[in-house]
Amino acid sequence: MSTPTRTQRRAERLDDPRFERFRTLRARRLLVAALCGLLAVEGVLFLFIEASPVAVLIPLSLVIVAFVFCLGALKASTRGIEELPADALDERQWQLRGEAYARAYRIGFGLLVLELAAVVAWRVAEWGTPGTGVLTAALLLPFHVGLVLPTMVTAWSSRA
Amino acid sequence: MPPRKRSNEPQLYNRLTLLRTERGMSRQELADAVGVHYQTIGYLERGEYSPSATLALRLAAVFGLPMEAVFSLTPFRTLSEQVYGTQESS
Repeated sequence: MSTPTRTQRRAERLDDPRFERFRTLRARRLLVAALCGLLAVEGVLFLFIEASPVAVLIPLSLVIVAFVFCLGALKASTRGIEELPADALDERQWQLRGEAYARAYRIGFGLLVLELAAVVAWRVAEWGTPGTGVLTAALLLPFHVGLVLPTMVTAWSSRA
Repeated sequence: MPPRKRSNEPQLYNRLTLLRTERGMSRQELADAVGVHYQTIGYLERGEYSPSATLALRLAAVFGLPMEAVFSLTPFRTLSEQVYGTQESS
């Protein structure tokens, strides 16, 4: 008998029946809402990082830990459809993943347009040079959103 | 939320639940036999997912039946209707 590949082990771990409680539509959508909340809190914390870096570092660390756990639960709730390679998925999961990525692309594009509009508005309003916190948030938040958006969109779907 | 279907996509009826139960197979066993996730068998049985021709042929092969005995574009007659010739009251 051949030993399972890394992909097969990952697929088995994400399909673990112990995570069944996260796989109801309600649980998945609650996890998506929690992750959105954590992203918002992260953004707010970055605004204060310049004024009191040490005071912000502790809640920021907690947010990052919660973010990792939340994302792990979310990936288990979707059985990793959005991250596993094609040979670990069947045709229905493959189709679902395609739909999720198409929707995530549209949402991501919309968010990017909003961010660019905010930059233009900032320039037009002549609010001056943004601080380090705002710049860090403007760079890190889109990266984090891009990282989790396909998982969030897949989890939000009623067919995952 | 009901599963989304393309407006022009016809409903595909199937006898998967009946055939699987008749043969004493679990969803997992049938899924393993055709190489899909057990959840997909549930979606197929509820008519919430239409399989590809390849998967439909594989499923029919597991039951040793032609594809048209397992899948149809028109509703199948119920077992009681076939055995006793009675119509199901709607």
